[in-house]
Amino acid sequence: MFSFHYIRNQIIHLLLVLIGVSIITFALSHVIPGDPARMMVGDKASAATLARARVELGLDRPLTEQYYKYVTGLMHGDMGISIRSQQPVSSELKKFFPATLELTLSAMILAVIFGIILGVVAAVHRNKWPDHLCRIVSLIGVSTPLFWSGVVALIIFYKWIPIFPASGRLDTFMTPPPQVTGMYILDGLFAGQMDVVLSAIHHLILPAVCLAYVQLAIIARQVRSSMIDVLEEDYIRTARSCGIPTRRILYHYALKNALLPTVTIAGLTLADLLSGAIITETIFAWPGMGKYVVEAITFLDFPAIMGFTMIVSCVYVFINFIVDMLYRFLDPQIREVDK
Amino acid sequence: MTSTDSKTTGAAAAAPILQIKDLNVTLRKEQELIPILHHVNLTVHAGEIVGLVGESGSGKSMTASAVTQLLPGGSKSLQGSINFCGEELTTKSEKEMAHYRGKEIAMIFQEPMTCLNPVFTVGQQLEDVICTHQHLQGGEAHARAIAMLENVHIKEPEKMLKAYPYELSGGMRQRAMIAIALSCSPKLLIADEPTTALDVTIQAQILGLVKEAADKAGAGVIFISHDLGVIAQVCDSIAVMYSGEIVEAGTAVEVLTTPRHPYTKALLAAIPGFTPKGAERLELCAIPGMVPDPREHMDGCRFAPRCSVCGENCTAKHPPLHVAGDGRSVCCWKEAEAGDTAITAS
Amino acid sequence: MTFTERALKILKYNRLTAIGAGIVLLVILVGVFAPVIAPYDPNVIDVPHRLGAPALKHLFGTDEMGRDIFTRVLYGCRISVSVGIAIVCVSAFFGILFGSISGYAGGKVDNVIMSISDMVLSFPSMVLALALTASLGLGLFNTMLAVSIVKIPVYVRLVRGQVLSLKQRQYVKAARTFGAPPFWIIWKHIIPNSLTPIMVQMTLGLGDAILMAASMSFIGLGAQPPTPEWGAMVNSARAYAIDQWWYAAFPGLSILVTVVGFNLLGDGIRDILDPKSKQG
Repeated sequence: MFSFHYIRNQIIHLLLVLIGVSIITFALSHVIPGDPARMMVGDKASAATLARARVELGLDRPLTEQYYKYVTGLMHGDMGISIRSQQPVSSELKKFFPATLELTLSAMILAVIFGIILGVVAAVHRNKWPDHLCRIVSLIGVSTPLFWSGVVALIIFYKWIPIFPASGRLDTFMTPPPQVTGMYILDGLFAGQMDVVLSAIHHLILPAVCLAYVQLAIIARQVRSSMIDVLEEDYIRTARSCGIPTRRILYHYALKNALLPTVTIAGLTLADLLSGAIITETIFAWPGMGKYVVEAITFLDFPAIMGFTMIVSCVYVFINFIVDMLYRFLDPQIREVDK
Repeated sequence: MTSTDSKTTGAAAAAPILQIKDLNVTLRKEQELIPILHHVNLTVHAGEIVGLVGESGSGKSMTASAVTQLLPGGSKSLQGSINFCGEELTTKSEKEMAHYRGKEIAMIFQEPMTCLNPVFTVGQQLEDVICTHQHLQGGEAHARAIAMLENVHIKEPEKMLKAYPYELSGGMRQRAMIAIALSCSPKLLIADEPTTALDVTIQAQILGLVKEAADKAGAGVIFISHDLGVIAQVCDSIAVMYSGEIVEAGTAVEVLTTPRHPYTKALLAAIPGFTPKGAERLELCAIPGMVPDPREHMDGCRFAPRCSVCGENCTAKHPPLHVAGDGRSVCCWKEAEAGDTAITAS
Repeated sequence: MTFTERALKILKYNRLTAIGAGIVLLVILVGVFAPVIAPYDPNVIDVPHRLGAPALKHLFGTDEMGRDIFTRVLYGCRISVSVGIAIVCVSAFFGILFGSISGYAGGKVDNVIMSISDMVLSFPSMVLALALTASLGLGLFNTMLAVSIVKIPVYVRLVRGQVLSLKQRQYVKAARTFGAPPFWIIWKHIIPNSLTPIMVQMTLGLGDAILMAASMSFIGLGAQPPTPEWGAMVNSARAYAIDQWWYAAFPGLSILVTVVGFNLLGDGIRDILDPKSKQG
């Protein structure tokens, strides 16, 4: 299915992108800031402490050497020491990563499923009320500040109609399930602890829906417009002239074609979801990487910020790599081009 | 109608498969009403290939779409009658029509490149049509699909079934398309410019397949083309369309050898090296001007502005339909005036 | 049809675009005349009346320092809209510059510019903006700069594509044979001809830029308190939002309305400038 040639090119491309990402994060952490050493030791430190810090950080060395050290460090999972907690950034991020993943993936699933449904319904009933609804939902979706919709959701569903919890991943006195993936819903299922699963879902709904909504709007828009294009294609006329039932034409023949461009959008969606998680986690006190980085910002914890940037970007690059493969898997025409 | 009639026997042969009577079609686009077909009459018998010829925009494809009720756009109005094997199609609901499409009435289109769905294999598309109409199980449908592909002279049907449309050449796609169209042994096959996008050698093969469908399976065929040369090769009878009207109709031999309508004459003259008997070789091979906008209302003959023999009557009043003998009709003032004695509107 | 005719027609028949234009006009007017309309000083502290609910005296209520939220929302208009416009203009400017150089020069220069912009695009844009602001230093100006930088590649790609296709046009080829200097050709032929898609991208990008800048302020990177920036206001409101709903509600709603306005107008402008594109 995937030729050797294609996979080799993809991997080379992936490596190049990762090198690019590392160059930019390196530049951000070593070149642009006035003085990382000063940041580390603080304003009140003496000149001698500062000089010691400079040597310790290797700032007296040439840039290329610093970059080499930086990259080899990254390969060993070394992202520096958090200024705030004095713990290695990598181990802290590792702790918070599963929570972010759980939130982002749930939001993605919600956004993709409901976005596709809304987009298809709108395209099929073009210029009727489902279409107008889709238009309003997507306009508001792309225009709403995530930090605001989160706060509003809390005011409504926590304060006014108290049906959802305001913060955290589980009820207060509940112990997390034994760690397998770090995602409580999955781990709870593995351990057979249904009460944990339900509590995790209960806590997840509000932040996931808020996070998903913006992306849902974008996906619905995309699906709608590509579905409308597809419905005007000759092969749809052919299918109709062959007497294939309308329902089957719409949901079998047209949908598969219309979803192809959506797959690419889904990759971009993830970038926005990861960005959005920063805000959503902060509002819902969701103990993930996003909340971690916002706290790091208030403390100007530079290594933590850069570690976060690095991890999130790598996840993003990797997901896009997978999306590209998926796209090729779905579209027979592109599959052929590589051969 | 001609020799082909003898192949089918009994009383059924006499009744046409399709009879369109005085069909008027108006499309509604935004707030505008656009009349696109005027008083169209067309009859197709079993085993007969009827050629529908005219420039682009003359309403050929619209006539075909009207038969299958697949007219484009939103609301439309249809007047007149489309009788298919004794059933009136104009009053059928969308659901009832779906039963006819593909099973009783099949279509082949001009663009083999875009007419097949790019993300499904030929087999998936072919078997889906077979399953929709014939209630066969997977294995049977597969066997039927292979038989259909062999019917259109495909050497490796198994391989073809697994192929995606982009892996096939234009000619092969058109064969696949024909196989899909013929898969349920339709009584009527509408071929909408099936050879226009193909090379000449492939054209001949595809035309052969269409002929086979009529001769062997006894299907009636409406063959739409702007190319009189192609029409001449396959058709038993011909209807010439201009701006939503049928201006001349008759057997292929008659229309091609003794054209009566100035438009038909001009069309024939536009074919290089083709000068019908009794017609002068026109100096200009191209017909000046363009087909009028269907929105444009005209009192007289719709061809008058481009007609080389246009007279006073022509621009003032619409010409009557002059019926001359069995199935031969011309819609022109010159004909009506010259053959005054012969007019017997039956 | 001329531009004005088409614009008038679209405003007449497409009510949504008209609404968008209305909102944008209103927001700009409010921004310009904030000091005139606003009933109070945005930063004057009035502790006795802190966290007051909306009332006639304080339409949108007061915040934890007793400042009038309505006044602060009005002043916030100025900041958000000008920040949005600045971001879009800066990124479009550099985008046009690098995009036309890249497309025109081709070869190595093109490779370098495109690689850099691909590198930038391989980050989720908000995350990169966050890291950039963190290393440039907190503050509204640096946030603006960071968001602009992150958005540059979008324009680079757009302009480069335009240049590549325009380079093939006869009149550009002719100008090159006459030995016209590259910058003259870019200025005279390429920029005017690629203005339409750039304008469309800019108006559509405005809403996004405003949202992003506000989000950055919300997480504490952009405008710092007590600046009456909408995102920063919602941030300080977080501690009180659950009990004093008006504190977070109004600044956020203003962002929503403003961005809706720019998005509607952007869609409309796309239809006016680029009639080929399908109406959403």
